[in-house]
Amino acid sequence: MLDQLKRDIPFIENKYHKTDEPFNAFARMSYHGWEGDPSTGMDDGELKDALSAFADAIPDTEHAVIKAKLFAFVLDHMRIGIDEHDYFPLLYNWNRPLSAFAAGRWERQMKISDEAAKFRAEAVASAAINCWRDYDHAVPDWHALYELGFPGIRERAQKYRAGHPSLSEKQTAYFDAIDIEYAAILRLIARLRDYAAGCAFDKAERIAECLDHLAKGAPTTMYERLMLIYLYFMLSESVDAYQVRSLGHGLDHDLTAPYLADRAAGRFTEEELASFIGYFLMQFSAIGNYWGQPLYLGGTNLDGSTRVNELTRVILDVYDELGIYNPKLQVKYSKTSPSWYLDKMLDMVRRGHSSFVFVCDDNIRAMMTGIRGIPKERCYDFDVKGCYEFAVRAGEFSAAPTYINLLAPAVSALNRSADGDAYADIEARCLDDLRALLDGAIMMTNELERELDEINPSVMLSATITRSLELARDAYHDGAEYNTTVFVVGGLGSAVDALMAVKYLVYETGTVSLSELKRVLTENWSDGKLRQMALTCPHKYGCGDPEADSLGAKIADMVASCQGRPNARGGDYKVDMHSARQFIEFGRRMGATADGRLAGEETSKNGSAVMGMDRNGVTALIRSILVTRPARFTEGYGFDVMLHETAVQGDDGLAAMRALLAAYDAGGGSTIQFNIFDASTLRDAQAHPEKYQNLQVRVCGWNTLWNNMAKEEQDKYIERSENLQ
Amino acid sequence: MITEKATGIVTDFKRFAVHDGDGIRTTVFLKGCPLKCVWCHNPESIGRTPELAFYREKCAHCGECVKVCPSGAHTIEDGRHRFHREKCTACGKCENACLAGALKLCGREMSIAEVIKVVAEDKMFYETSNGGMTLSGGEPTLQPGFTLSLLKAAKAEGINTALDTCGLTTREIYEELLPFVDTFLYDIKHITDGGHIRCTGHGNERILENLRFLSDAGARIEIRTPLVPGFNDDSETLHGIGRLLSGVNITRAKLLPYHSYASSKYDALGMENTPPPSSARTRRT
Ligand code: SF4
Ligand code: SF4
Repeated sequence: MLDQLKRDIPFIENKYHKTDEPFNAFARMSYHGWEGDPSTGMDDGELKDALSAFADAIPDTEHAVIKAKLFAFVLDHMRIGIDEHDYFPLLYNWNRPLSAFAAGRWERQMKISDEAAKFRAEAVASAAINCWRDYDHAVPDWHALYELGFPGIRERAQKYRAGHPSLSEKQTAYFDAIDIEYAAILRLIARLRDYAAGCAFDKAERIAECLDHLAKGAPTTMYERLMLIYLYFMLSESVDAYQVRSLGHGLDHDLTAPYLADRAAGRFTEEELASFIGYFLMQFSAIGNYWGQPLYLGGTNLDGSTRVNELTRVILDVYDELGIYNPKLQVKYSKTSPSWYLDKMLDMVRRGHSSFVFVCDDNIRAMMTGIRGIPKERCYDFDVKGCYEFAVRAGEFSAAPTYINLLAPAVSALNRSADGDAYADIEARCLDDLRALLDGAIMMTNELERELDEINPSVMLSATITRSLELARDAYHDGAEYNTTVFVVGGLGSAVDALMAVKYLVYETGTVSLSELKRVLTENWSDGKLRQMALTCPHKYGCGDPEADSLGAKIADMVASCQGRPNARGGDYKVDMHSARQFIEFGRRMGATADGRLAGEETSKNGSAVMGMDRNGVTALIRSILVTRPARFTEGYGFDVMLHETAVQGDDGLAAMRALLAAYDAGGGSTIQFNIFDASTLRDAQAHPEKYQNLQVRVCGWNTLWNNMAKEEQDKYIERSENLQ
Repeated sequence: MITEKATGIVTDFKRFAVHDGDGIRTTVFLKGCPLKCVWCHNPESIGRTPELAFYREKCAHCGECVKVCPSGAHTIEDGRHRFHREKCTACGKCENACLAGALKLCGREMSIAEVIKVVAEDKMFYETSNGGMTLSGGEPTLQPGFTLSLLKAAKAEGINTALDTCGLTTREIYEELLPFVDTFLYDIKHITDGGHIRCTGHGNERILENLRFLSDAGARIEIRTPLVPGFNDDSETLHGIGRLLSGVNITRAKLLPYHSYASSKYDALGMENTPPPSSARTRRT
């Protein structure tokens, strides 16, 4: 089906960076693959010098206007290219060239109070929090963009401007900036169109026609919608400095109408339409964003019917055929989803495609109406705007400036306790310390966020958001219906295990005194036998142990109580049980902890168990997770499950995965991701059994825990897995 | 008439068992088996009483087990640990003392309530998958009173039941269990009596009779055949099994691939292993 695309893939893979050269996905925008046409614009060095001179010459005025002028300068001087191997153009200068003269500079000028600065310094030093201003990730109103196109978005902003009886200086700048940026976007599109029109290869004519339509109005075909998404993404991410966190409001839903229309009118064949989707997806695979570019599918209409349709299948088939893992797909599933939809994805998952995040659609909608009080008609089609995060479509922008480490209060509680204290005292201190940490974090975060719109005005984004235009206020700051702030919280498993190990070692078994345990910890577990006991403590989070789970629930309750507290942007706080990569960072800075963790080792991720400590298998793990009530975490709740490929083989295996999903959903789940292991993982599991205590393998008709097998059995199993590949 | 029993010897539990009957199940392994299959991958289930498995290669020679054993079954000589199986009473005290994980007690006495508590924990998964409890072994019918009580208790909890059985028991026992078993997972290992003796040490006459009885009684039956190179993977045997099955009512038949993973378990239990020659043919079959 994708023959032409497959021939082009080797070229597209080299579009954004050269595949045979070293590549760091964290700095992906620092690379170039295709050089573009040098006669069309500057290289990065030239652009930087020219932009610097231009920035110096801009009179000091409102930041939004300065940023917009810089944006326009970059677009007007950007080097471009069109290539015979691709339906999407090259925008060469993509490393946020204006940031050094705008957000980067303006952030340094912002100050916070002494009290907030003191809290921040202390909490960061004790690895209790990590924080920085977050002013760059959001989803625009794609529907407005499809309906109006870039020219229409500009005209609509002009109308809103004319409709405001009086405008402050800042509001005037808000509209000026939108006009400057969107005019620049239209000039760039016209330049791209003219360039394509001058190219002689096969695809050029189609590209030129598509760009011509976008230069003049709204997209009319599916390919034009994809081009619009691509251009918005590239310009926002790499020039306007706003990460675009979902490609469409459900890509399948957003492309359905033009797909059907194109097909009915005979404009494109089904193969051509599928291949446009393929070229589009390949861009994100080739860009190689380290966290994966999010894109979601599925969902439910207001009347409860499913949004999964034949285009969903086309997208999944193309994604499957390309064998890529970026973009990563968040897939909404609910009781009304057709069975082929889950089966198709679960089958891909068990073939090693772990880049699916399954989202419990019904539970998230119920959370948004129930806990957040959002009307049903505003949240039935919520956005999934990151790995897991949920937001009101085109109406909510959240900043996530503060990461919280739940293991830190468990450590401080132990440090504040002494021989003679009861275990209940230590647990109570942990919860007290957590409460104080959250209160302090809110105070500090409110100061950090006071002037987000002065640091990085969200010009491209705001122009798409009706509420922002009505108020003439920046959408990412306080111009949306819901201006929310997120606490990103991780380390639940580590925190529970640490307290439970204290209880077990000191109080239940009397193996060691509190002071002695504290000494052993300061010496990074100088007593190996004691550490072994801590690691084999019977009360581990993630095993369905009632004691550990109830402590997990208490800590989760405390975190969830931040939900709804007011922030500094006219909105409120949300909570996200998600540690991003902070579990490594926090761990690196922490000493040994009572759960058996050595100094510097990572903490547990998200709301999950400590790696390998979910010893009773996947069903017990899910039960433990559900005790913390994932779906009340209003921003999201990351949860990974590991299974061996043989545990999910055959019809029985697929049915079992489906049943796990259904049970997690029915029990109040939020999101879930599966990891299916192969031989290389098994070899690692053999070398590091402590990390894989929950790994299951199927042995002659049933599943068993990997670590219950002797080495010789494991060897054979590895051999067998290799033979199966 | 089976006399119900309040306790029995349980070897192990397996949660998230997805290949032991319908849906997601918890498999309860009951100790004791009348057969001695040459390929048995579960040798800890053969004996009827608890026994200690000692995984020599995991032992760190630390001597912790010596301190707790009331029978002197563990000793340290010249810095090396030795296990004297003949002295061990399988009290289980040393299992937790060994932090290296070298000691595992196979089998312990449990009550109906204890077993059902474990099984019921995963009820939410049975509900979404039509799963439930599977009794396996060993051979559960060797503990008929306990098996019957467990099945009744599971049914009383609304839990679906499956019985994994080798067929070698009395017809009367099946008759009494029948009302409480939703699915029989019935092993057919060979078609001829001689072949069966060679594979398992027992003939199959009674096994086939019992299968016909269960089929006639309307039981839901799933046939399971472990495919063992050199014993039952020849086309004559497989065709014979096929012919046999065409005469009984079954819901499905499954071939289970043979593996030779269990040899270290034999060693740990001080048992002699009798592995089939090679697994090369299994792959071909
Ligand atoms: S099970 Fe009991 S008797 Fe046997 S070795 Fe261990 S402690 Fe000694
Ligand atoms: S306690 Fe375990 S590791 Fe130590 S000597 Fe005994 S069997 Fe070996």
